[in-house]
Amino acid sequence: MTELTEKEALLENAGYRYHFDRMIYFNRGSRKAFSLEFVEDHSRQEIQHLVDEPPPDHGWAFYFNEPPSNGIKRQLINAFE
Amino acid sequence: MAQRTVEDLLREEYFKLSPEIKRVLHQLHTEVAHLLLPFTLDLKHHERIHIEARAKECQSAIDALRRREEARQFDEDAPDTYTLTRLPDLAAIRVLVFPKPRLEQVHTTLRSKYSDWTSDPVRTGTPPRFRAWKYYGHCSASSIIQAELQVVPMLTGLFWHIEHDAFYKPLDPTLRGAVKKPTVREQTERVYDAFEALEEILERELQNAAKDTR
Repeated sequence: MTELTEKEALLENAGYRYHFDRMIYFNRGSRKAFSLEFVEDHSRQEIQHLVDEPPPDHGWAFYFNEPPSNGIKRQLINAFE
Repeated sequence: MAQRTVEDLLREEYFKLSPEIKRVLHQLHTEVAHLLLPFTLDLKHHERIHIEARAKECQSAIDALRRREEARQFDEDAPDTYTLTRLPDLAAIRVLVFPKPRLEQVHTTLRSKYSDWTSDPVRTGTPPRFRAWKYYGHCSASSIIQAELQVVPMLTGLFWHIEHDAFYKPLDPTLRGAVKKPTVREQTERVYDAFEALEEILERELQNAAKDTR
């Protein structure tokens, strides 16, 4: 198992689903989303730390290398919910 | 009147660029075929040099630009930030070669002609493994359209055809997303490794056969 597939297993074991069109891991329960690029570029420990953080008080938390605009966030939330 | 989407604007841009894309492709294809002609005429019966040329189609170009976005989606509030000229492969040539000594000969010849082009080798897997040479740059036919040149081992290049037809050509975003999923990519790496090993064995067997017939 490579480091990348280990990170994927970490997310999937924590209840994240892979959105095939967007290539994003998302979890409706904790309202968090990780882009594939973010997962590739960050260590297993960093991702574990973000997964373990409590869910945001309002809205969704997006973990992207380049923060998405508000318009894109709205469309992503529609796609996830 | 309804506001035009980013995709509408890109489609319009594509049709303005289309004649120039074709000119660049024609120039690059002709130059590459000319440069490789001495080798092509000198091929032994089992050796191959196959040159493929393609102009990226309109929808493929738009989808490729969209896939460069982390959310795989254009920001409709910022339509001016997108242009198809950012794509490095609107016109592309792929040269498939067998066996490896020919591959290196072809690469050296093309690299010396396009020495100022940017090198962007295809590396895949973890840790990244070299799979093919890739360069992009401008031909004299256009200062706007970037062209791409690939030099690829034959079996790897043929597998890319299968991947493209099976996962990319159906224009199904779900299939494309599946291909990028790490667990799927890990299996694809095994296929690449198997083809490379097969090419090495074939090459060795052919060398032995040549020794036996001397």
